[in-house]
Amino acid sequence: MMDEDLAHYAVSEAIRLGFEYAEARLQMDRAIMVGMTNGLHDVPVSAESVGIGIRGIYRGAMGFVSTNSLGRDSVADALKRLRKTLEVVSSTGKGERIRLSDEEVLTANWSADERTRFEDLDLDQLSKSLKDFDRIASASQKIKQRVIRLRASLQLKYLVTSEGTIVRSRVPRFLLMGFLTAYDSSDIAQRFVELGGSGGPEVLERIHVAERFKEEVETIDKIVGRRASIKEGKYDVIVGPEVAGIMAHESIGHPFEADRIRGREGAQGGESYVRDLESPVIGSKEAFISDDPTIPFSYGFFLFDEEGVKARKKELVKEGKINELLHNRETAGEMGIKSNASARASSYAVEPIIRMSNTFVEPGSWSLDEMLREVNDGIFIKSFMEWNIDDRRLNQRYVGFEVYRIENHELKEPVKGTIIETTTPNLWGRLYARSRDLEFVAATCGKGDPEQGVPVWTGGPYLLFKDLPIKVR
Amino acid sequence: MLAERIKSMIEKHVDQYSIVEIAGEENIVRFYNGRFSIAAGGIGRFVQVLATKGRKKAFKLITNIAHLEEEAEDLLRTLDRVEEGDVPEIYPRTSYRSLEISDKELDIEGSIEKTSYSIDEAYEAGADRVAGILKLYRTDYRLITSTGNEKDEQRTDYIYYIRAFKGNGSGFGNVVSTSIRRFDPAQVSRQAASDAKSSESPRSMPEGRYSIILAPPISAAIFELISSMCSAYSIDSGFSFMKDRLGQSVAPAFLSITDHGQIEDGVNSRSFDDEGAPTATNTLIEKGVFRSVIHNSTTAKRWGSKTTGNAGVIEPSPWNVVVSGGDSSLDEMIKEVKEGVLITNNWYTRFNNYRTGEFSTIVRDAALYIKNGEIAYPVANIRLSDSLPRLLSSIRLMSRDTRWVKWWGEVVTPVKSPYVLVDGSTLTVP
Repeated sequence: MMDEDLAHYAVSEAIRLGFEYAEARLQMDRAIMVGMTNGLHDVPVSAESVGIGIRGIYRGAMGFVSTNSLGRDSVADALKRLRKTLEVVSSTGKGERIRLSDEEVLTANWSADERTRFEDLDLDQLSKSLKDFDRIASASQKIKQRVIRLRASLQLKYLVTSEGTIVRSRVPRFLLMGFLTAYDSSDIAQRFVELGGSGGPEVLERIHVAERFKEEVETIDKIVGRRASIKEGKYDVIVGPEVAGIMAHESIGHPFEADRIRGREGAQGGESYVRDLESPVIGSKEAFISDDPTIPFSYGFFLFDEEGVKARKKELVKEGKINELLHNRETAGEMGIKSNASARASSYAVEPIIRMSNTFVEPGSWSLDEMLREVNDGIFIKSFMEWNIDDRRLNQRYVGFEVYRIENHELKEPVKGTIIETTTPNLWGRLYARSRDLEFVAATCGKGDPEQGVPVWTGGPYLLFKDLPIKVR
Repeated sequence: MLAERIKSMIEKHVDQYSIVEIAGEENIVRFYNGRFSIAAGGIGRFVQVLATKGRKKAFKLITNIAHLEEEAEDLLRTLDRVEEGDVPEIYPRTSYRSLEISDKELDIEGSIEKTSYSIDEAYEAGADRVAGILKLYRTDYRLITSTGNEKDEQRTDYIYYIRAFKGNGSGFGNVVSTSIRRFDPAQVSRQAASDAKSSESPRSMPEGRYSIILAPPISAAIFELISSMCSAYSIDSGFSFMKDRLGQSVAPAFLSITDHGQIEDGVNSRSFDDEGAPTATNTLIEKGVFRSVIHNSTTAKRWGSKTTGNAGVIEPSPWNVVVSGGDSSLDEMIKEVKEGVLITNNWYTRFNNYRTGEFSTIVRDAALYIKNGEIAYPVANIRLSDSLPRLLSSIRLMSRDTRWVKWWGEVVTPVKSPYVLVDGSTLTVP
């Protein structure tokens, strides 16, 4: 589908125009989204985005240009415009001197496993699946408003660098999004559900999306209208994998992005507490947090990044200590180390920047029952709705959705409005135990300007925190 | 023209269509630590097509312009196979009025020079370091509909924001303009540096209920949420606390919120929507009363109403929001506060419940504690935890002055917003 010669031409033309380094990425994203709102079909939306993004270093400064006019003249014209802009930047005396890390020059082809190819996707089947999900939600006695969307997508990329690296890739993805509003007497509750992965439509079965969605709907019927209040105070708190995942993503993954630490995202997502840390210890010895793009069928799956560096698991935190940051070639070059392949771009039209993939708390050795036996007076927060964190990634909040009281080592009544609002060191410092489980949910992680939403998984096991402060809304 | 080519490929096979061709040029320069980190540009041409046939509908975004025929065939194939249901109505034959609010061409060199100067000014005003972005857009639109409507128009946008850091403090500045003539980044960069200095050694404060003064960046974020919740789709789908409040008082009697399809420095201005309806000026909240719901043709039909020119084929949404009705100065507002906080910016707003409006947002950049009508000292590590209906009805004062706000992540729809004094808001600390 894509004229791969054009990428080679773009790189050679950039070098001819005086760029010291160039990479060209042909990228095609196709997506179809079907949806229903309150049982009525929304307009189905199909979109494809095909173009070339070219990044290069000119007089030491980084530039990026993109076009969806895929001819040699258009590419040459785009590069000349970029060079002109970089000359204006250079004339201000404020151009940066970029040094990329040295990496292996390689040729690679990679793809996500798929049984049914995206090209063979049956729209009728997609519509049928959508109606099945809508039927699950409509069976609820309490859900009165519902939005269900199913999104199938395909991403093809062809990367060439002036150093000789060539990487070709193919990743289809599937995602279910549900937004459910339930009413019972004076209790109004809302829940977002996002489940998905990489692969053909069969990935929805592989990660048990229908069963998990049904469980969410049944939970709503079970707890809405029955949620009691609790007193604010310190409790032993067990959180579910969904909560563990958002904690890992927000308070470890983002602040470990090396571009944030250097200040490059200072006006957008912000900087990072890592910039000011005096000690590498950020949690108890139970804190093990990783980011791994190579997990098969994961929503954040990739095997080579957008700079052509081979992907691998990154162990960000081990035994409560910082072990490794997330790097691209620019930050690795700055620090004199190798990149760990964290550069991603959401479309051909945006520069690759440092991103997470699948970020999670590593499983431990406990069972959930063993954790409950450890808790005399506590709270079990299985899932969440509201959350946020400050721009240095220290002050964070997670408001529970499915929450139960724990008394005398047993789960009791559902409770409402419980809030974990604490600092990153206090949170991870109070981590006492991790279960053997490992579950993920899908999310679209935002970063950069222009905004780049990239698919990720967040997850983990059940976690037990000791004496965690709990607030009530 | 791509629009005409698509039209010729589909018109015999569909009942209705609305085709919008968009040709855009984007120029971006990002900076941090006083240096330009990247210059980025993009040139793109794409087409969005809404088509209906019988009781079927489909929407397609096409950038694969080298394979238009395949894409058109794909659209027609989709249209044949989708489920039946309500279909949008393409707007009948009409005329559009395009206001002259943009430049003919982007002034890229002039904008970069102004940005470079703004960085120098921020350091001159005492910043330790700065980060920010300059974004320039030139967009050409062409509309063709099955009802005989045609329209061409062009827009230019200049968007800039900066964050200045000093010690543990920071300040924020934002410029939003449709013309280089009104684009003055140095003025806001100096203010950002001044706010960074005034907040460089923040103290902690106790959790509790306070009067808060929201500066335009955070008041814009709040009013953007409120205006988007006036959309019929938001109300129907559970994304709004405005359900069942049409015609009711939701805010003090001096406050009005108006959506403008076109307005000077409204960088989201357009004379037509995605269904070919002319955009308009709609007062959503008039003197405190929820007066108008935002519609596309589909939601209008469901509500027994008429489109307001805000399509979005699935979700109708506001274009450019203006908040009006205040008559105070900032100094007068500060004098009115016995104990509270002046909040200059926010970030990361998330809802526990859109239907009830319960949310929290992180207080970002300079926040200044006010005691007995005077600014006492900077504070940090706080979060605004409130509900939108409570906050809206607890506005006591607003400033005469308003400012356009649009920046990364928090304010996507441009909002021209005042300073706002709100009583009884909860501020929490970790």
